[in-house]
Amino acid sequence: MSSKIIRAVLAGQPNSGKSTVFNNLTGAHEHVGNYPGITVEWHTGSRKYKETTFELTDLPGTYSLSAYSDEERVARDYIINGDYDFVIDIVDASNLERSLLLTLQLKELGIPVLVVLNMIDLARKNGMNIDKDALSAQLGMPIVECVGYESGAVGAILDAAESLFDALGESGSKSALKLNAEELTKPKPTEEEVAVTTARLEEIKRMCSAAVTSRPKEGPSWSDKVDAVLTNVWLGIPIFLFLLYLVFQLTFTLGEYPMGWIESGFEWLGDWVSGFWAESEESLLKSLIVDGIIGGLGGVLVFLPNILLLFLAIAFLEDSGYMARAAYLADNFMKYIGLHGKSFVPMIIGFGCGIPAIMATRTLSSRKERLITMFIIPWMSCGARVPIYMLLVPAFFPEAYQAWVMWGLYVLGIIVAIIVAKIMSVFVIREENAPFIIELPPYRFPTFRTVGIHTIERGWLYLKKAGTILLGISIVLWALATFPRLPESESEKFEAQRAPIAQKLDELKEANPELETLAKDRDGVQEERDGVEEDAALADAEKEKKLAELDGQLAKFNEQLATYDDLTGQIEEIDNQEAEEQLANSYSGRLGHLMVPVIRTMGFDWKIGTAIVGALAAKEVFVAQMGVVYSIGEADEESESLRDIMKKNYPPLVGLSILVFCLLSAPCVATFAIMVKEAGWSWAFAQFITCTIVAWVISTLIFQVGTWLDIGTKLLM
Amino acid sequence: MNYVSQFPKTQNNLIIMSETIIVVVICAAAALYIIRRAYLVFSGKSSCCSGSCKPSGGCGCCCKHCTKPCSEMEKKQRDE
Repeated sequence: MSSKIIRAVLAGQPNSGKSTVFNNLTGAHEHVGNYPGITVEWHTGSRKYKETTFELTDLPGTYSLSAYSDEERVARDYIINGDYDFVIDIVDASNLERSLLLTLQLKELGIPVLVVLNMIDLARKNGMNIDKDALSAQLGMPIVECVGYESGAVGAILDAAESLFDALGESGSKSALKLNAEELTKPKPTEEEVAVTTARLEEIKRMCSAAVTSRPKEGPSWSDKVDAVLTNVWLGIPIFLFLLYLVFQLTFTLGEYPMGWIESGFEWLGDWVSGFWAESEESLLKSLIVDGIIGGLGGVLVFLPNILLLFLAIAFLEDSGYMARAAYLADNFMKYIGLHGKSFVPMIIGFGCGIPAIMATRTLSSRKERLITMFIIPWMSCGARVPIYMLLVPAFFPEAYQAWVMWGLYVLGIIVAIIVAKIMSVFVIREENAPFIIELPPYRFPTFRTVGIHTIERGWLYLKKAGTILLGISIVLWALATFPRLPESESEKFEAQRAPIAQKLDELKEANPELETLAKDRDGVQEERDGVEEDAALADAEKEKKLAELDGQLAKFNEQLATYDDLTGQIEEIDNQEAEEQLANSYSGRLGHLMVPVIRTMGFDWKIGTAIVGALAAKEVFVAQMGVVYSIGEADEESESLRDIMKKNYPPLVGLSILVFCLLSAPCVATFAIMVKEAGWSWAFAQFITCTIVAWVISTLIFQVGTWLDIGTKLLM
Repeated sequence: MNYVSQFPKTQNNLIIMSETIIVVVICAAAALYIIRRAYLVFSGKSSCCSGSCKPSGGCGCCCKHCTKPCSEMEKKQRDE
C-alpha cells in the first residue's frame, strides 16, 4: 500500500511559535527564541506519521499578507505561489484577536487552513476561555489547541491535518486553486485597503466576543511588574549592561575548570605523540601532527566549554523574552543614530554569528536601516572571536578584571557600531525612518529543551568547524610556516655552533653519569614545590616552611648541576635560534615580515601579522596560527600552554591592542560573502575597508598612548 | 615507542620518505578542501550558517544555499 504525502505550510504571526511547532513536528533544530523576527527564510522538513508522510515548510512570521519587509515577502510569496495542500496557521492563543488577521486573509483567498491555537496554556493562565468549537464554526476552519513544544502537540496537529486533507480531496487543496493575489503585492496600503483591514478587525472582534470569555484583569500582571523595572528609562540600560557582565563572569569562572582539563589533555596528547620519535629526531610527520594539528587545532578546541557557557547564557536570555525588551530599550538611543530598536534584533543575533545576523536584517522594512544595520554588524562581537578573548584576556589581565575586560570589548564594539551608524545616517544614506513597533512577548522560564538544543547546536557547530575548515587551515598554516626549509649552509652554521657544546656535554655526562638522574630529581622537587605553592588548603605557616625546605633542596641541585645547566642552556638557545630562523625563512614568515611596517604601529610583530591574515578566513584561526608558529618556532620539547607563551612574549599593552584589533577588524570571509549577496560588492568592500581602517586606527592609538604613558609595557613573566 | 630508531639506517630513510609522502598528501588534501570551500562560499552555494540542512535532505537550510539537492519546490520557485 503506497502511503499518502501531505504538503502543508506553517504560517503565522511573528513569535507565535511556528518554529517551535515545526521543530517538534519534524525533529529539526531551527533557531527559536522568545522574540519576533528570528526566522527570515523558509525551511522544509518531513515527518512520517502513521502511514502518512508530511512534508512541512516553516515560513517567516508575517502579521498579514500585505508584506512590507523582505522576510514578510518571503512568507507571502510562498503562500501565494507555493505548491502545497493547505496552511497550518499557528495562532498565539494568548493574543487571539490580533493573530486572527492573517487567518481571515487566508480564508478570504480561499486557501484551506488548519488553525492551531498555540500557547493555549498561557491563554488559560491569563484567564481566557476559548470555545474552540464556536470559533471553528465562526471561521469555518478546523481548530486544534496545543502547547507547541509538548510531545502531545504532534499527534493532535498531524491527526487534524490528515482529517483536513481527506476532507478536502484532490480538488479542494490549495494546489488546485488559482489565487488572485494582485492586491497583496502592492508596496504600500491605500486608503481603501486600510478600510478593508479595519473591517476585518471588526469582524475578528465580533468572532472573538462570541467564542472567547476572559476573566477581568486584576491589576498589572507579573510580566507588567517586571517590565516596569527592566524597561524603565533610567534602570533598563544599566540592568542590560549588568546582565552582559554576569554572562561574561559566568563564562570565565565556570569555563576555566573544564578548559584546564582539555588543555592538559592536549598537552598530554602532544607529548604522547612526540614519544613515538626520538627526542632529537627531526620528522616532518611529527611536526605536522604535534605542531600543526595538536598545536593549532588544540589551541582552538580548548575553548569549547567557554563557547557552550556563553551561548547557554544567551539562549537563556533569548528564551526568557528579555531580548525583546533589550530591543525596546535600545530604541531610545537607536533613533538618535538613524536606526530603531528593530535593528537591535539582528545586532543581538550578531553576538552569535554575523551571517544569520545579516540575514536577519531582512526584517527591516526601510532600505536605509537595513544597509546601516548590515554595515555595523561585524562590530557585534561574534562567537568566533570568543577563543581569542579566552586566550588573551586571562593571559594579560588579573582574574578580578577579566570579565570587565571582556564586557568592555563588547561595549566598545557596540559604541563603534553606534558612531559609524550615526555617521552613515547623516552623511551617506539619508532617508526617513520607519516607525518602530515591537511585540513584547510574555516572560517565561526558558525550557531546558530549547536552551539545551540551542547550546548543544552551537557547540556542535564549533566542533564541526574545528574538525573541517579549521583543521584544513591549521594544516595549510603549518605547511606555510614550515616550508621552504632553511638552506643547508644555514643549518650547517647552527650545527657548527652546537657540535662543540654537545661534545662537552657528552664528556661531562660520561664523567658524571649521575647528572641526568639528578636533573630528573630536581624536576620532581620543582613539581612538588609548584603543588605546594598552589595548595590553597595549606596553612600559611606550614606552606612557608615546606617551601623553604624545597627551595633548599633546589639550591643544592642547582649547585651540583651548574655546568650541566649552562651547557644544556647554550644548546637550547642555539636550537631556538635555528627554529626562529627557520620560521622567519618560511612563506608565513616572509609574509609576516612584509606586513611589519604597517602593523608595527599597533605593537604587533610579524607572527601576529600572519595570524591576523589567517583570521580573515575564520576568526578562530588567529589562535590556531599563534599555536602553530610558537610550536614550530620554539625547539623546546616540553608542552607549554599557549597563554603562557603569549605572556612570555608580549606585554599586556600588546595583548589589549590585539584584542581590540580582532574585535574591530574586517569580518570573516563567509560574512563578507553573505554581505555581497545581501547588499552587493561595493557595500561589502566598503565594510571590509572601513572595519580594517577603524581597527588599525584604534589599536594604534591604544598602543601609542599606552607606550607614551608607559602602561602595560613590561612582560608579565 | 620510539619506532624510527628501532630500524636500521636504510629502513630509516624509507620511513622518512614515507613520512614525507604522507605529509605532502595531507597538505595537498587540506589545500584542495579549503579552495573548494572558498569556491562554494563565493559562488553562493554554501553559507549554511546554522548547519541545519533539513532531514528531508532538501534545501531550506537557514541560508537557502545548501549544496544538497533541492526539493522540487525550490527548483520551481527558482525557475519562476
